[in-house]
Amino acid sequence: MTSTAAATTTTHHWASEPLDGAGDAVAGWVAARLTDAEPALPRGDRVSLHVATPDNGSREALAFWRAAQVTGYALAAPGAFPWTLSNSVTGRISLALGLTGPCTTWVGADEATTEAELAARLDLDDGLVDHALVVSMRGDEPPDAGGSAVRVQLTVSVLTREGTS
Amino acid sequence: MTAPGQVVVTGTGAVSALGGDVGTTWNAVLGGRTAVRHWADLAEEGHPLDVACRVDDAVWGGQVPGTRVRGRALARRAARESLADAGLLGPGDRLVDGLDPSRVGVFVGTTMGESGVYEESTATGEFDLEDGGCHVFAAHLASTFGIEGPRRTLGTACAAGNYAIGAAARAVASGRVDVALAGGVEPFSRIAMVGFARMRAMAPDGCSPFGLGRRGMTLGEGAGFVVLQRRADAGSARAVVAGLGLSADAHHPTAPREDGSGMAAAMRAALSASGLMPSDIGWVSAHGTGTPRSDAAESLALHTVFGDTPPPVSSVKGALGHALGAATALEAVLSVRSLEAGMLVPNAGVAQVDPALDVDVVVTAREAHGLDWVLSCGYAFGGLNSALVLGRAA
Repeated sequence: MTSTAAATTTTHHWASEPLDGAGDAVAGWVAARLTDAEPALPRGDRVSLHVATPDNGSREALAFWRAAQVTGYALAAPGAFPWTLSNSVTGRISLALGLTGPCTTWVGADEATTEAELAARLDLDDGLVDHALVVSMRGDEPPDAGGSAVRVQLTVSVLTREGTS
Repeated sequence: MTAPGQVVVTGTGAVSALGGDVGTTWNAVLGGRTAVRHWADLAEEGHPLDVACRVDDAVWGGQVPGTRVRGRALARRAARESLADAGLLGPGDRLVDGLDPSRVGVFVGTTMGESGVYEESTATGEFDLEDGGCHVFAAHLASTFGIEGPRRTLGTACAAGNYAIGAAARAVASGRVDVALAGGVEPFSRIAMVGFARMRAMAPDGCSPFGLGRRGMTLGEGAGFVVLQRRADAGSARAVVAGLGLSADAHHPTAPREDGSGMAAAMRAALSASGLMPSDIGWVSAHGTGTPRSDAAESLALHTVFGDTPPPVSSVKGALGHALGAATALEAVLSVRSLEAGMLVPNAGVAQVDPALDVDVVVTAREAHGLDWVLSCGYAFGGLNSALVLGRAA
């Protein structure tokens, strides 16, 4: 399948210091990088977001459950639970940038990024949006039961339809 | 641009807390049954709430899967039924001869992956993402059925099934694949059981969507799958996939916009993608979780899109519970059945509809001759909204 919409692409890269894989630490770090990006990332309802991740939410789920074993279920931390879901970072980015268009989370290894890029181009082809953000995030190590800190590699590509300001 | 109606549903499969196949689930839901019950094991484990909709031993028929592979067993069973229903399953769980496996794709929506693998990690001290991550379901289905095309996982929580079906329809329509196996799966998750209970999002006595005095959701589990093909390639079709609409609230990590504007945007996008007018929709298979704020916002969204008299509305979550990543997939399967049967399923679990919502909630099963188009809605934490339009095949 081929993409027909001509698009320009700009790319940003960031790498984190060790982050606690619990609660909203990773999602908050990602959202902050995108919010502060220069030049500013596109916002609004004519922007689609595609997040590709092998494991978002996994560390947070392990941490939530580990803590619940200690506190007992009746005292488990309610604020930590939403960050156990694989789409949590997608929602956080949407909130941070004010993105109200299509926002999708692709889970998997390299194929997730490939699919996210393909879907982003289709969004442009179909005229759904003028810009598409492809956010690829990857930890330095897979999640583990012990709750090791994670360094996140973040790549953000901005695809823009030709002729869009 | 994909032409609306180019992709059709040629097979369906389901496992729910009310049945191990589509027919059993459909009959139970249509009959107003509910799977909501108390579970002694959850109470003994110390869960704050012990009410849930789980696939019990009777549904498994003596072959209860282990906790660590429960989601894969759910997905395999529903996917097998859908492929067989489409006439694409040959001997030995292989695709039929003549169907190029590299031209078949798998698109799976889920929330947390194989939750049992996460839960046992605290006892074993070990966790393997390749055994528990969200992507294991698509990999397992591809391996089981010998599918060699794209394997994709859509991690969009409570709306993941719609996202998966939409992505699959796009792949079929574009010619990237000839056949797509698409849907959602979620095994029962103790992590979710604790999390939602602690967020005070769960009803202690069962979900009552759009009900007066509704107190929250009931956790469920299950799997739903559809087989999608281009209309020109399909021998016969059960339904048409008209279009998917997506939007985001950009409002709050868990709460919807109170005015339902994000939900309404997804509904409008779905209608636009389908080339339909609001008046074309004959029934809404609602998200309807039974939480006070979500049901209120969804009702406002329906009025925003459809005006003073929205079409009849049902949520099946009072019957099946909220199966998270499988929810919208199961609802899509039931929507296909509704279109075929010309019947609207009841909104189980409700003693009295909340009059303040001002929507026509289907309290008992209702005939709907001439039902041509259904809008099936699902929304996820993070404010991620979806609406899928399915149509009658004939």
